[in-house]
Amino acid sequence: MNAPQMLGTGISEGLLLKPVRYQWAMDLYDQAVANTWFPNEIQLGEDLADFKKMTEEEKHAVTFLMSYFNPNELLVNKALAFGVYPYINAPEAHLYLAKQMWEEANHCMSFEYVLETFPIDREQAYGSHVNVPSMAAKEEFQVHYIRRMTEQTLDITTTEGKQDFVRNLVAYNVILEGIWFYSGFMVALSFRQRNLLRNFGSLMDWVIRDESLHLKFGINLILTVLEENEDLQTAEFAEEIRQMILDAVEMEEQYNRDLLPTGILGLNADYVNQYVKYLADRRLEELGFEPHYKVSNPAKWMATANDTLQLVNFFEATNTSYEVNSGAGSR
Amino acid sequence: MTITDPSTDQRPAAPDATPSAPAAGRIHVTKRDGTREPYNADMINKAIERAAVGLEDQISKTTQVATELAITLFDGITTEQLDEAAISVAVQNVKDDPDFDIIAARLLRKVIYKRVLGNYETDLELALLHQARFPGYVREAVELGLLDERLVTHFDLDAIAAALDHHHDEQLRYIGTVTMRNRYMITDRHGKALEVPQYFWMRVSMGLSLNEANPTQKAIEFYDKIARLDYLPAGSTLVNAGTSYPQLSNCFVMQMEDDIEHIAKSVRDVMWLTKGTGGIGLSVTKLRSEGSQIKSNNTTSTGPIPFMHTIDSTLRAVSRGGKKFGALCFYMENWHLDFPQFLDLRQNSGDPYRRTRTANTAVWISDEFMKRVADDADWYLFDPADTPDLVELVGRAFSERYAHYVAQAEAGRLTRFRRIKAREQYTQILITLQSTSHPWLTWKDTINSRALNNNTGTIHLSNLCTEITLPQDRENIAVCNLASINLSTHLVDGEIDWDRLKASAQLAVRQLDNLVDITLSSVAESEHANNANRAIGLGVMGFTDLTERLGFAYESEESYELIDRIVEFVSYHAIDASADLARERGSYDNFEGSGWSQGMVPIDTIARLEADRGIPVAVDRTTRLDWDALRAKVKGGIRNATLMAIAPTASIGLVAGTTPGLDPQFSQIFSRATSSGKFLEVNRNLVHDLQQLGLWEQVRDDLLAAQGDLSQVPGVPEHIKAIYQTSFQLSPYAFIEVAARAQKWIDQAISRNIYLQTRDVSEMAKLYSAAWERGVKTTYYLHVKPRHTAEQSTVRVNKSENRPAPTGQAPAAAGSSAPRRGFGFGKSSGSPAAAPVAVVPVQTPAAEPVAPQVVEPVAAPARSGFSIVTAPAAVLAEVAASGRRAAPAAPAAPAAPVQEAPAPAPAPEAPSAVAEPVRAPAAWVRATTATSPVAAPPAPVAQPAPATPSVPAQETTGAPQETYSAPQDAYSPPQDAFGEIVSDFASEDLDVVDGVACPIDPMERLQCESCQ
Repeated sequence: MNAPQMLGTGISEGLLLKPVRYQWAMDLYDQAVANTWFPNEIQLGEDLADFKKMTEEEKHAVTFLMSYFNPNELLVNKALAFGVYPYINAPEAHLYLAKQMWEEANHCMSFEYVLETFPIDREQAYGSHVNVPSMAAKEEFQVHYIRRMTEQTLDITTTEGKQDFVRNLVAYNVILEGIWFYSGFMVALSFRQRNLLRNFGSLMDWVIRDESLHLKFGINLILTVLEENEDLQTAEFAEEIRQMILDAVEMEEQYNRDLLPTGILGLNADYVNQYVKYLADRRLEELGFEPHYKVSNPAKWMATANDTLQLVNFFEATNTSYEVNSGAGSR
Repeated sequence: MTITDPSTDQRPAAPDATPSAPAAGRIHVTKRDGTREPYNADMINKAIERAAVGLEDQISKTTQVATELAITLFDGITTEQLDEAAISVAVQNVKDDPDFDIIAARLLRKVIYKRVLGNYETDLELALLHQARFPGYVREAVELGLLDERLVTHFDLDAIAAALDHHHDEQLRYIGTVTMRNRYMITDRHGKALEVPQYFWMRVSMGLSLNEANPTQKAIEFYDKIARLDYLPAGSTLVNAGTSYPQLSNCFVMQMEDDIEHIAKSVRDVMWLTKGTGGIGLSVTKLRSEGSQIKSNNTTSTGPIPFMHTIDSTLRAVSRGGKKFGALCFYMENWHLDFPQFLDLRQNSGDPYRRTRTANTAVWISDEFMKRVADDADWYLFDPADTPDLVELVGRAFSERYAHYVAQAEAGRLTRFRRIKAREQYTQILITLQSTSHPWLTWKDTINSRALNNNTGTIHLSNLCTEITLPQDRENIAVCNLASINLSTHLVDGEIDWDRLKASAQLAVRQLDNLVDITLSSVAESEHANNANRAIGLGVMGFTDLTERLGFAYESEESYELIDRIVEFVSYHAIDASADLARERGSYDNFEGSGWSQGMVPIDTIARLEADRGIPVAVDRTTRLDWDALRAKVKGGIRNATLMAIAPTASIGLVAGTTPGLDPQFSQIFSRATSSGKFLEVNRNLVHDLQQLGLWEQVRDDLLAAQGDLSQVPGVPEHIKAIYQTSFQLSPYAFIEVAARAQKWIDQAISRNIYLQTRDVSEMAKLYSAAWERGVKTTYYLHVKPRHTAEQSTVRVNKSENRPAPTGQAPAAAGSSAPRRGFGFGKSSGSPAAAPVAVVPVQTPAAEPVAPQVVEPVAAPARSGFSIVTAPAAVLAEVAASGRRAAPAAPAAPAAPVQEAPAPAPAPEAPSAVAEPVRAPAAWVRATTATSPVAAPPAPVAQPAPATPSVPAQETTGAPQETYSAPQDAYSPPQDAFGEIVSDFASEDLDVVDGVACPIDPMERLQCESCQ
C-alpha cells in the first residue's frame, strides 16, 4: 500500500491537490477561510475611555501582552516559512499554511492597531522583547529551534532531520501558540469580564478563534508525522520533547511574574501560572504524554468568556462569530 | 463563625493543588480614604455567607466563593476591588449551579444599598432605610435638575415611600441587576448612584402617573405591577420616565422625501430622536436613483446610498458616552433601481462611503414580488422619479400599477429600468441576509391589508425592530410606545393566572396611554403624530420560559395552541381597556374612518388580506372569546390607534429574568454580550428539572462541552430533551408558526428572530416564503449557526482523540477512535498502532434510504475533526457506545475520488439575466458563487451542495422523532449532519430601543466621566 507521506522535500511533488490525502488539513483550510476577518471591523477607539481609567498595573499588563504578541506573531511566521512549509509534501497542508501565515500577519497588524490606538509608549513596547529578560528568553528559545531549520543543512529523510522538524513544530506550535499565547489570551479576556476593553476583547476573540485552528493543525501534523515515521518513536526523543514543554512552562512562570508584578483585580501571577500548568497538561495529553502538573483551571469564568455560543446584542457589541463564505455551504 | 480564613488550615482543601494564597499577613486592603489595613478574611467571608442565606449547601457554597476569592488577592487591593472580585468569583460558578447567580446578585445589591442608603445590619434596618431615605432622594434629585419637579409637587412622598418593598429585589438576577444599574438607574453628575432598584421602579411609576387625577394612588398601582415584574415598560421609558427630560416614546418611523431640504431635515430629526434614545425606522424608497436627472442644476443624482451613509455617521456622532450608538433601520422597497447597492450596505468589504456599519437595513416586499418568485417570473427595477406613485400603493392596486410600468418599460417608454428574475433577486436578498444578517424581510401588503389604522395613509415601512406598523407622511413622524407583559410571572403553581394577566394588560394599557400625554419630543412631526394617534404596543415576553415550565416543547401543538390562546386573551383585554379609556378620556383624534370605527378587530383583517392577495393565508382561525361584544364596543370609540406589538425585549427581558419575546432558548448554556459585558446564561428551568431527576451534577460538564446542546448529552431522558431544545435544533418552521399564531391577534407586528443551522439558501427561500404564506408580517435578525468556535478552556479537550483519518482509510466513528498515541507509544495502553485508527464497528442504519451522495466524503464522523470543540470525545464515545450513533453517510467505498470538493470553477455563475451585473466587491463574488444551487429555489433538484445531507441526524443524536414533526406541510426540515454541530455562529439579539442612562460599567465603581 502506498501510504500517504506527510514529510518530503516537497518541491516537485504536491502540485495537485486531488486526491486529498489529509482531509483534516482540507477541512481546516475551509474553516480558516470562512473565519477571515479584518482588524478595522472593530472600533477600538471606543475602549479608550476604559483604558484611561485603568490602573497602572492594568495598563502595564495590556502593554506587556502587546509587546510580546506583536513580534511573536511574526516569529511564528518564520517558523512556518523556514521550518515547516519546505519539508512537507501534502498540498492541502500547504494551502492551510498559506492561510495561517496570512493570519499571523493579520494578527500582527491587529496588535499594531492596538498599540497605535491606546496611549502606550510604543518605543518601550517595541523594545520589550529585547529588554525584558523573561520575554527575551522566550524568544531565544524559539529562535534556537528555528535556527536549526535554516542555518544547518537539514535532510528531512534522516531521523535527525525529522527530529529537528518535530522539535521546531513543538516549539512554535504547542509551546508558543498553544501555551504561551493562551495564558496571554486569558489575561486579555479578563478585562472584558469586568466590562473593560470590550472591543479589544472582540479582537482577541477573533485571534483566539484563529489560534484554535493553528493549534489543531499543528497537533494533527505532529501526530501524523509520528505515526508515519517509526524511527521517531523512541523513548529518548519523547522524553526530550516532554522536557521542552516543562522548560517552557518554567520560562512562562518568570514571564508572568513580570506581567503582573503585583496583581490586578481578579488576577495575580500565581493564578496565571496555575492556568499555564493546566494548559500545559492539556497539551501534554494531546501529544500522548501523561499530565504532569495535575492542577485545576482557576479561571472558571473562561466558560463565559470563551467556551459558549455567544448571543450578541447587535446594538451593543460587535458580533465576532460570523463567517464569510455564506451560502457556499463551504463544501 | 470563621469561614476560610486563608491564613489558617481551615481553608477547605481545594479540589487539587491550588497555589497557596499569599499569606494573609502580607495582604493589605487599601480603603477608600487611602489608608491600608490588613486583609480581614473573616469579614468578607461573613458577607458571602449572608449572601448565601437560604440556599442549599449554604456553607459549602460560601466556602467555594471564599476559596476562589483568596487565590486572586494581591497586596494593596482596594475595598472596591475586593467587592468586585467577590462578585466575579461567585459569577464564575454559575455554570455549575445557578444558586451562585443569586449570591452574586445579592453581593452586588449590597454594594448598591450601602452606597445609596448607607450601612445597615438587618433586613428590618434595610426596609426602614428604604422608606426613610426616599423623600430625600426625590427632593435632592429634583434639586440637581435630574428628576421632574412634579415628582415633589404632585405626590404624597411619605405614602409612596411606605409602599416600597425591597423584598421584590430577590426576583432580580445578577444580569438584571447589572443591566438596571448600568442602563436605567440615575446617578448624579459625578456618577454617584442615587437609586436602589425599588427607587428606580417607583420613580418610573411616578413618571407615568403625572397626568392622573390621583397620581399617588396610580403610581403605587403601577409600582405594584412593575416591581413584581408583571410587565415592564420598554427601554427609553425606563431611562427617562420621571426625569427632567421625559422622552418616553420608543419607536419613531419616518420617510425621507426626494428633496434636499427634507433630506437635511431628516438628518436633523435623526439627531434629536437619537439623543432622546428613540429607535428609528427610516424609508429611503422615495429617493431617486443614482444617475437620475436633477432638473434644477441639470446634473444627475448620486442616489440614496450616500445619504444613508451620512445618516449612518450621524448615528455614531450622537452616541451616548461614545459607547452606545444611535439605532436606526433603513427600509427600501425592492423595486428601487438602487436596491442591489442597498443590499451591499452591510458588507464588511468595499467602499466604506457606500456602507452603513451602524444602521440596519430591511426590505419592504410586496405580494406582487412573492408571487413572481413563486411563478419564476421577471422582476423590474425602476427609478422612483419615474414611478412616484408606486410607493403609495399596496396590494392589488400596486400590482396593477406595477404591471403598467412594466408595459411602459417593455414598450421603450421608460428608459431607466432593469429586468432580472424575481428568484434571482430573492436569492440575493437571502444570501446577503445569511452573510450580513441584513436586510430583514418585511411584507408591506400583509401589513397594509391587515391594518386597522390605515385611514391616515399608507404604511411605508416598519421600525427599528420590525414590530411597529404605523402610517406616516411628511407631516407625521409615527411614534409608538411600548411595554411587555412578562408571561413568566403569570404562571403560578403550574397554572396560568388569567385574572392577573387581565389586570396586567389593563393597567399596562392605561400606563401607556398616560405616556402619550407625558412624553416630550424635540421633533414637531412626532409630537403631532403621537397626540393624534396615541399608538401603543403592548407585547409579551417569556414565552419559552412558560412552555418549559409547563413541560411543552417549543415545537409542539401545545405550544402553538398556548401562544394563540395567550395572545388572543391579552389582545382582547388590551383592546377592551382602550375602549374603556375612550369612554373615560375620549377616542383618539383620527378614530373616525379607522377599522375600529367600522367595528373591526385584528382577526377580521385576515379575510381582507386573503381577498386582496387571492391566496389563502395559512393560519388557524380558531377564536375563543366574545369578539362580537368587543366589535360593538370599539365601534363606539377606542383610545389608541394601535394596541399590540411584540418587541424583542432583549434588554428588559434580562431585567425581568425571562426569555425575550417569543424567542426560543438560544442554548441551554451560553454567553450574552451586551453593553454591560459578557454574561453566562444557564437555563434555570432545565437545571431545576435535572436536579429533580438527580442528574444535573453528572451532566453539567457535558452540557458545557456541548455548548448547551442537550441532545448531545448522554444520560438525559428523551422527554427532557424534547422540552429543552435550543434555537438551532428547532425546526425554523416552529418560529414561523408561533409568530403566525400570535400575529392573528396583533394589530401591529412581531420582532421575529429566526435561527438556522442550515446554510442552504434554497431552504431559506422556502422558509421565508412560508412565513409570507402564513401571514407573518415581518422577520427580524437571522442567526446562523457558526461552524467553528475557539478551543474551550474549562472543559476537557484532547485534540488527539477525534482526529479524522486520512481519506482512503475507513473513517473512524468520530470520537470513538482511540486517542492517537502521539508520544504515548511507549505506553502499553490499548491496541498497538498498526492501524492508527481503531475502527469501531459502525452500524449504518440499515433502512437509511438516503444513500447520501456525500458531498463531504468524510461524512460526519470526519467532520468531527472540528467537533472537538463541541463534543468531546468522551461524550461522543458514550453516544457511540450506546449504539445510537450511526455513522451518517459513511462513505461506503472509500475510493478516493468520491470526493468532489467544491471547486469554485465549475460552479456556474449565477444566472444573470441582468445586463450589467453591478455586483460590488469580493464579498459578492463569493456570494454569487454560492448562488448557483439556488437559482431555482423551490426545486432543489440538481443541487450540488447542500452541506446537509439528509442524514439520520436524529438517530444519531438520539433526538426524539417528534423534534422535527412540525405541523407543517410537506416540508422536510433541514437536518444537519452531526458534524455540523460544531460551532456557533453568531448571534445576537436585540433590544428594544433603549439607550444607556449612563455608560458606567457595573463594576466600575461609579467613575463615569462621560455620563451627562
